[in-house]
Amino acid sequence: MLNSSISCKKDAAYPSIALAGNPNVGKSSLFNILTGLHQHTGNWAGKTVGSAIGYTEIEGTKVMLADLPGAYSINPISEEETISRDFLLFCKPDITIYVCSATAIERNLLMFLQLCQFCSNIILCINMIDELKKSEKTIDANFIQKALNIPVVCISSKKKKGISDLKLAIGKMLKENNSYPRSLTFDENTENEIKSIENLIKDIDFPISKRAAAIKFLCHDDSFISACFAAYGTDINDKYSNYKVNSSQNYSEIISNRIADTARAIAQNAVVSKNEGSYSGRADKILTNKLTAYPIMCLLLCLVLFITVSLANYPSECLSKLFSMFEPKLITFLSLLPIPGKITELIVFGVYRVVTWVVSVMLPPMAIFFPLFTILEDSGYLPRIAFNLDKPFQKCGGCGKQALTMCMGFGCNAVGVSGCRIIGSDREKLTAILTNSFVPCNGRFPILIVIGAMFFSNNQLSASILVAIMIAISIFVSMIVSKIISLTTLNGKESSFILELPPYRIPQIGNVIFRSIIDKTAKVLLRAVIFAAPCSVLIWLLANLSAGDASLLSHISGFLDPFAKVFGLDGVILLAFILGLPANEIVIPIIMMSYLCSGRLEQFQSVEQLKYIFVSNGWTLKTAVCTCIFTMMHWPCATTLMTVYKETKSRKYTLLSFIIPTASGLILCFLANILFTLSGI
Amino acid sequence: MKGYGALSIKSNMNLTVPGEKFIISNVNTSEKTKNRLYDIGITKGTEVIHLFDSPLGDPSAYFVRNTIIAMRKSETQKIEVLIVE
Repeated sequence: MLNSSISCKKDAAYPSIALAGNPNVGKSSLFNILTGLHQHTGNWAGKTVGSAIGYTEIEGTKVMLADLPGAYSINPISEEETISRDFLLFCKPDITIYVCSATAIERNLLMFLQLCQFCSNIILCINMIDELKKSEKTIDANFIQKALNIPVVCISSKKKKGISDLKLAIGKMLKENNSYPRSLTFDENTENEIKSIENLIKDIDFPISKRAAAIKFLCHDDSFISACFAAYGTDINDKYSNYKVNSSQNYSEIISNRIADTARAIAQNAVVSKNEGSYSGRADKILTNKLTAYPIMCLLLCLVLFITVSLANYPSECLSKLFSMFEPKLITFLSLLPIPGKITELIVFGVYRVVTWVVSVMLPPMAIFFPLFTILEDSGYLPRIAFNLDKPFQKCGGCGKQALTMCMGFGCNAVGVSGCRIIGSDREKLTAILTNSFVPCNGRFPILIVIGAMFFSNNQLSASILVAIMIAISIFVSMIVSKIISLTTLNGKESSFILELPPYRIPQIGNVIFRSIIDKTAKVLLRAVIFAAPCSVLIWLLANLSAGDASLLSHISGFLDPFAKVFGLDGVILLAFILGLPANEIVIPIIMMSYLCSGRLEQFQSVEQLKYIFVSNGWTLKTAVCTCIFTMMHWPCATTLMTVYKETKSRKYTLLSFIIPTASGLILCFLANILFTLSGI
Repeated sequence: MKGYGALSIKSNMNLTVPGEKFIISNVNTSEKTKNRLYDIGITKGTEVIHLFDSPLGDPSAYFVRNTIIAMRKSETQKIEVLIVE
């Protein structure tokens, strides 16, 4: 019986097979091949967050496959590793496939040898043998099979080789169900200690064998003991605390050394190389050295953003035209139904216009940005970014991985926030979550660009420079804010930063594009639409219901106006940002709608037209700059707020994620207002 | 002063420079970090090569059991090593 603290996702009807292993060994690739279920794989540690479940048929039997997040050990230090550990130890899959990388067998065997103590039906699956061939090495799988007494299968998930052998091995194990990996034995002293602990715990139920549980005791595995209590109500805390207090030797080290020696022995005998290979690292020499690392990073980021913005324009326009062509047909259809004319107007000019606007402006940029981003991920470059930027982020109380979540935030802040799971330390993770909105997402870029085009219309270059400067300011402010958060939060636990830099690999383009669109873009879009639809009703009502001689919208913006003017904005702009909570894409259309008093979202025909409307309503250069600043730093959109709550499970931190960027934005706008007023522009 | 020939020099991991090969002799970090280092393959007697540093000097990348691992100086200063070449 398991309580809800460990979610098992097991289907009692089918045998369950878990895919476990170090990060970045190709578990997700293998999962996709076996299940045909599309799930994205990324070339750096920390991609699969939470486990994915799929079904497939192997040798006539339907089975459930679980793709577990990568882990370096059965002793977890992060949320992902805990998910892996809990599934393997508490949910007890019928078969465990341990996937390892052929190029790093020795390191990969460390966790495998740990697992052998706990799981019985294990298959060792050596992946990426195509890469091994390149470095002129071969693996003697038979040797490993004999040494460990478990089936060993060599595959290449990239070239889809060896899969049938794997399926045969799985089928055999399902039928025979009697695989017992050779478990490690230790020196006499340790073995005696294990036996005495087994005696101590003989009356207690564990999800694993007594010997395995005894070893956990021996190694002072607090996390496991409390997880047992949480899952099984097994109260061994007293016995465990007593044991801890009285134990003298550090058995943990003895066991780790034994595992390390065994792994080395196996690897040295099993891997045969023709020549003494060494690490060449030509790419790393260029990408991480003092002179070229940062320029290359900035260049790549600018390139990705530039491609996104320029390629997205045309599809956005097409979608927009398509939706507006459909509009009259919708009106005709609705007029046939027995609903009042006003409701038809609400549905068409309110809900339909807003939702289709969100879709046509949000979809193309994200559908371009995320594939580009995942190409960088798959190639192996992203961990190098974390590596290059770790020091400056460390000074601000964060870590290099925060840079990666910020990069994700350029595509969508909600994705950036959920990406913060890759950060191990609680404090650093929180810092990254709370400051992610400082990075402008795809939805806010059009605002910056349109304002840049309006007020610097003659010069493409200066419009781009304005955007770049705004982003730089925002990142700078976010790092200062990170520092302040780190000084004030009570969770002072700093994690040890140990990052693996995987080998560079050529991304599999077709898979990347298809999966990143489904994975990230579609899900976020759906959520935004779900928030936008009800909000659009509110917007339409405010714009079309009047009190006295003006619409509610005008009244509210008039009310907000004096407050907004303090920050260099006006009531209309501020209200537009408030109503733009579901999606920042509708902010400019709402401003236009308010100025034109039109009661419905309008498309602008040209930048000149927009500038004319804005300037006639009091916009100056100051307004433009303050609006840009506020665009960069204001409350996160509804989807992001929801994601923050999901990740932190705390109302306090969700509120903080609302307040922090807003306060920063207001402060900077206020300062900008003063500067402009003083200098007389 | 570097070792010459078969002589190895005692040092700390943070004091090594790119290109140096050394053997881990003692890990003096916190218990939690030590366990994590063992999981990654950095144990007593492991041969490690210091590959390169990040542009600002910290963290540095090391070649450990055929994989590349990046670590900060705040951790590597607690690891004693024997420089081999």
